[in-house]
Amino acid sequence: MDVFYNLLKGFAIASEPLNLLFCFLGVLIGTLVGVLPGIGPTATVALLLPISFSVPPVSAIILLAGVYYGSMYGGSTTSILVNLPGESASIVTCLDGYQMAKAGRAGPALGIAAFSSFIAGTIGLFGLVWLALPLANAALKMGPPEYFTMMCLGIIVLIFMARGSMVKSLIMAAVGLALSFIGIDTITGRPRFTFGIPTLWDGIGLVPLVMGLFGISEVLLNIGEGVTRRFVVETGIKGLLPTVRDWKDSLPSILRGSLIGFFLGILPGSGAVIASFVSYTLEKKISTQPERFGTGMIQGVAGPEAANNAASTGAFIPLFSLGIPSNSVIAILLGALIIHGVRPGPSLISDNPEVFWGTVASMYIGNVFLVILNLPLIGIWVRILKIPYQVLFPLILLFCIIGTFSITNNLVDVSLMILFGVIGYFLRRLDYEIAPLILSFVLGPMMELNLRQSLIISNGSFGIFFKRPISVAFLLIGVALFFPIVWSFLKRYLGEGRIR
Amino acid sequence: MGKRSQVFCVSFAVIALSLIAIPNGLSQDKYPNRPITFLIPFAAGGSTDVMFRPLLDAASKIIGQPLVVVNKPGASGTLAPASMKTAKPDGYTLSSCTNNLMLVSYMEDVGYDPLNDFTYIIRLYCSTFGIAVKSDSPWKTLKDLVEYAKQHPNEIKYSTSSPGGPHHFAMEDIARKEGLKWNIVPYPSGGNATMALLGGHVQVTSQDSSWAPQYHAGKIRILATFGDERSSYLPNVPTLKELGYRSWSSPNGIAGPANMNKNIVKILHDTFKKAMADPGFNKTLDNMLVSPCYLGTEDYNRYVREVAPVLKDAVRMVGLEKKK
Repeated sequence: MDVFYNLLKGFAIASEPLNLLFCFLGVLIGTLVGVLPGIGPTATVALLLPISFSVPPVSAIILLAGVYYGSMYGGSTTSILVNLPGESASIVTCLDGYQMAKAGRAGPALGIAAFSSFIAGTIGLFGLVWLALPLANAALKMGPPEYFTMMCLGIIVLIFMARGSMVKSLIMAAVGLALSFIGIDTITGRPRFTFGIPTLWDGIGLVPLVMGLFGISEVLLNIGEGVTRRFVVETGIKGLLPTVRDWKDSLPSILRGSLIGFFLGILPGSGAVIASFVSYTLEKKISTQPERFGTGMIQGVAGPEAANNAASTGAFIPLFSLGIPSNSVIAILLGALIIHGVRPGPSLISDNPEVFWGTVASMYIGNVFLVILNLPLIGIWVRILKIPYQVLFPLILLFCIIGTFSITNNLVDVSLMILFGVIGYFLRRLDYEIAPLILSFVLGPMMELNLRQSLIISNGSFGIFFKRPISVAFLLIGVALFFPIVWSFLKRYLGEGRIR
Repeated sequence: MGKRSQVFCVSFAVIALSLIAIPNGLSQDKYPNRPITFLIPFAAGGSTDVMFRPLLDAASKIIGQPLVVVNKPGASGTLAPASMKTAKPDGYTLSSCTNNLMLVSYMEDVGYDPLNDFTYIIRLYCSTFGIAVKSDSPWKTLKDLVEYAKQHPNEIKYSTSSPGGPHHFAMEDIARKEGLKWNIVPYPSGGNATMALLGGHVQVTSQDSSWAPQYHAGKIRILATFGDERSSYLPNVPTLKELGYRSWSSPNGIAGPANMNKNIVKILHDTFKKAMADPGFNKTLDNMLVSPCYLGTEDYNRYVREVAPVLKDAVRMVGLEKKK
C-alpha cells in the first residue's frame, strides 16, 4: 500500500499551482518542439535548464520532463501532414500516417496518434511505479554481447518494414550502416572516413540526415512532379477523429506498442527510435493483410506512436533507480537534479521521495493535458494541408535549415542536409525507401561498438555470442525470422533453374 | 500611406537605427557594454555544461551583462576553440577550456596552436578522476588489483568514457611501470562505462566522477584518484602519485582569443574569481565530487606551458600521436 500512499502524496505535490503551471508549460513547449522539425527536445531542455534554477527541484524536473514526453506527442504531426518527421522517433509514422493524410484521413491519423500516446504514457507510468528497480537491475545484465545480437535482430527486422523490394531495403540498410561509420572510431579514438572535415569527426548528424532525406527531398520531389495543387483539394478531408472501426483496428496495436516501447526505452541509447520501428514491423508481421502496410494502415500509426511514448517513460527508469542517464535528454535532467542539489543514484527515491513521486504524478497529469491540448489542435493542423505548395515549400525548407543549424550552430551541417536532400530525391525517384537507411544509421554505431567491446572482453573470440543465454535467444529469433526469406529465395531460384 | 502608418514607419526606423547606433556609441565606454558569447565545446547537458551554467549565471550578475552560452560541440570539443581563434580578442567571445584542447591538438590537425592562439584567463576547478571496482570485488587496494593483473594477463578489462584521455593514460602508465597487460573497453559516456562495471561486464572502470552516484550508494570502491592531491571528498583514497605513478589533473578554465587587452582579462578574472564563491556553483561542485583548483591568469598560463609536453608524451605513450 506504500505505493498508493506515495502516489497520492505525489499527486498532492504535482497539483500545487506552480507545479501544475510548469507541467502545462512543459507539455505545451514539448508539443511545439515535437511539431517543429529539427528543433529537438535535447536542445530545448538545455535551453530551459537555467530558467528552472530559481524553482524547487521537483518543479524543474516536472517542467523539463514535460518537454521531453510532450515532444513525443508532437513529433507525429508533421510526419502525418507533410511526410517530415518532427523527431527521429516519428520516422516510422511517416510510412502510413502520410498515406492516411493523402487519403483525406489526416484527422483520424492525428487522433489515433494522440490517443495511443496517452494510453502508452499511462501504461508506461504504471511500469515506472511498480517495476522501476527490478527492471533497472535486469537492464544492467545486458552487456555488449546481448546488445550486439539485439542490434543484429534489429537489422533483420528492418527488412520486413519494406513496402517494395526486400533487396532494395537491404541495400538501404547497408548504406545507412556505412554512413554511420563516419566519424571518430570509438575504440581507437581516431577519425575515419572524414575527408579532412573536422565537423565529420562526430559523424553525420541524425537531424541533417533526416531533414535532408525526408524534408528537402519531399519538396524537390513535389516540385519535380509539377505538383501545384494539394491532394487534399481533390480528396477532401474525411472526419477529424478516429471512428469506432479505427479504434477496433488499433487498440491491440497500441497495447503491443506500449509494452515494446516501455521495455526498449529502459535500455540505453535510442530506445524510442528502435521501439517505434520494432512495433511497426511486429504489426505488419502479425497483420492478416501485411501487403497493405505503407498504404495508410491505422495500425502502422497507432503501434509506433504508442511505442515511442512508452519508451520515453521507460527511459526515466535508469535515471530514477540508478542515477544513470539512458539518452541525451535524460542526461540533461540528471544535470538539472545535480544543479538543484538532488543527488541522483540508487538512493534517490528514498532520499528525495518528493522528486520521484511528484514527477511521476505530474507525468500522469501532463498526459491528460496533452490529450486535451492535442485534440482541438487536430482541426487546425488539418487545415495546414490546404496551404498551397507555393507557401508551404519555402516554409518547410526554412524550418529544416533553422532546425539543423540550431543544434550545433554549424553551417557544414546545413550543407550536408541539402546534399542529403538531393540524394534523397534520386533515391525516392528510384523507389528506394528512406526509413531503413535512417534506422540502420541509428543502429550502426551501437552495433559496431558492442561488437568490438564484446570481442575485447572475450579476447577476440566470437564464442562469447553463443555462451550467453540472452544473446543466444536473440540469435535464434533472428535466424527464425531470416530463414523463411532465404528459403523462399532459394526455392524460387532453384525453381527457375529447373524450368530452364 | 495613411498618417498612422507613416508615424509607425518613422518611429520604427528611429528605433531600428538607434539599436544599431547604441553599441557603436558606447564602444569606447567601459567593458562590457553588451552580452558576452560564451562557448562551451561540448553538448548541452554534458558535465562541462552542467558545471558552467550556474557559474555563468553568477558571473553575469557580477559583471552586469548576460553571458550567452553557445554550445558548439564537435570534433572532440575542438570546433569551439578553433572558432574562437578567429574571433576578435575584445572580450566578447570566451570559451571554457580543458586539457582536452591540448590533447586533441597533438593527435589530429585541429587548426590551432594551443600555446599561442589563446589567452588563458582563469583556472576554476579540477574534476575528480578515479579507478573504481565494485564493492563486492576482491580488490581492496590498487596494489591488489595490480598483483592480480600481473598474474592474469589480458584478463582485467576496464571501461572508460573515451580512449586517449587521462583515464586511458593513467591505466597505460600503470601497465607500463608494472609490466602488466589489461585492456581498455571504451564506452560512449561515463554513465555507460559505469553501467558496464555495475553489470559485471568489466571488472574495473577508470573515468571521471560519473561514478559518484554509485559511490554514494556504496556500490563501488574507489581505488585511487588521479589528481596531485587527495580529493577532499575522498580523504581515504590514495592518489596515483602516492602509489608511485604519474598524476593526471584535469582542470577546467576559461580562455579567450590570443592578444586580449590586459584590463579586460583582469575584469574577467576578477568576475569569475568572485563567481566561484556562488553557493549554487559550489553545490554543483559538491554533487559532482569536483574540487575548486583556482589559478590566477599568470599561474594558469604557466601551468598550461608546463603540462603541454607531459600530455604530448602521454599521447605518444598510447600510440595516438599525429601521423606525419
